Amino acid sequence: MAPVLELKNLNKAYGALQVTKNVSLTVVPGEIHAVIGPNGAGKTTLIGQISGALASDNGDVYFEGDNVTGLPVAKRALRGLGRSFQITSILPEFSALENVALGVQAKAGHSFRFFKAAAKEQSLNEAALRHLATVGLEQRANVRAGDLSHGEKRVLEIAIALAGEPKVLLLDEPMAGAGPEESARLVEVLGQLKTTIPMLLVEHDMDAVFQLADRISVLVYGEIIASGTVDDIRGNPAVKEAYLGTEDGV
Amino acid sequence: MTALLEVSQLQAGYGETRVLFDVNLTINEGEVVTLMGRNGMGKTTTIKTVMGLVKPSSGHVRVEGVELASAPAYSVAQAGLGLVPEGRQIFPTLSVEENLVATAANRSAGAARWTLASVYEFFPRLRERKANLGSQLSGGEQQMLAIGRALITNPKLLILDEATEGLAPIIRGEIWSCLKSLKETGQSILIVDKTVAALERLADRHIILEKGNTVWAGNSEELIGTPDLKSRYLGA
Repeated sequence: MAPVLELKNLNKAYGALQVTKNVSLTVVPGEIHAVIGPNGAGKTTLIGQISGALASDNGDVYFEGDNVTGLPVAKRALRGLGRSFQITSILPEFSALENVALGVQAKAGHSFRFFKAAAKEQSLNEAALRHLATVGLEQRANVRAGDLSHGEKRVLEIAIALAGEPKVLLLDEPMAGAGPEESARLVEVLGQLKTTIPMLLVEHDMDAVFQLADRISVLVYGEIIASGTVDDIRGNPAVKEAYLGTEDGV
Repeated sequence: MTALLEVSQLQAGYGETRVLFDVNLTINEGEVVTLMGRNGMGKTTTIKTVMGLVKPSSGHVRVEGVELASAPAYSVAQAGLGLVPEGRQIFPTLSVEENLVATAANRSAGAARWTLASVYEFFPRLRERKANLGSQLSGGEQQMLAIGRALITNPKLLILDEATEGLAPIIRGEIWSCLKSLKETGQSILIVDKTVAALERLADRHIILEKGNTVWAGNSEELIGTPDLKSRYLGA
């Protein structure tokens, strides 16, 4: 199956510090490809390189077969490369619906309607409600985003990303700060979405990764040291030593 | 025996939004106590109010019997409470060593238990990175620095808010191991964290918050023996 997203030998250095080294991987339709690795391994930098927020020193990003390495963030997003952020990034004073409607508006390109409240536009509203329903947040549409629970905010971010009608989603620690129930809900939402939108998932919550991922790549000091199925990675001694450990410090 | 920290009938919030309605907790010397509850139940607000970072509207915060509710944060720190805040909040433009020296204090009559040398001995990785800026450290190293920075104030009570959040599994294991070592030295600790299984193994007692109220307090055996508590209040 032809990959939706393909990275070929991506490199990025900050001064003398080489953060990503010859990273190559693919995301194919219908799958979640998880990237795990220690703090500081280069995972967020890699997401930045893929989304276009960071320029790569060399290497290429192919999206739906086209080389998009030279495209800026906005053009990659408009083509369908969506992302969520490690730190919750919503507009807290706006309702959940308005947050998503703004995303729909940005995608639709109704710039001449900029001064009209996005959530008052019927077509934007309907699309925004549809995305909220996809993540199970339609009952909370009119709640101020800042008043949502932490888990709901993380789900709202996914709805905002969906507003851009992504063909692939880059998710940077979507479970960060979530409690057990909130993580379970996110796992359910992402598990349902992956059939239509493939994802590159960066996450430290191994329960979530092992439930969701079809393939896992392990990034250590900027290099992929292992790649394979959940069982391959769980049993890999090098991955245990570099990342998984036993987590039983008590 | 006078409690090291006694919080009673504590109420606090932000502007017109009340977050804490009736928080009660006690920590005795040498104890490890956890503050549990779902997101948004008031755990971090409780810690901020105890530390003097949020002003309570009523209630008591007593450290070794001395009333410190509404006292400024520096008075609370001088009374012996050391905080490892959520999100680490180390000084990014200072070196590791400068981060540690900046907060060093000896509140005992004799020799300080925690010095630069003993913090480096406890966290050898910080010694290796001592000249690096805070911003150049990995998440795990930043967390070690945040704990080291609190320890070097020689706190009577070490308070950790989500110290394992956002860390790789192997680093979380190191942090739990470090807290276990601290407990074995008699350090009193108050912990907020979502890893219930690790907290059950490490802590002596647990306090559960629900909508700004203390709704349960008990030991690990009682918590483990009452699964209903975890599903009702922790979503676990």
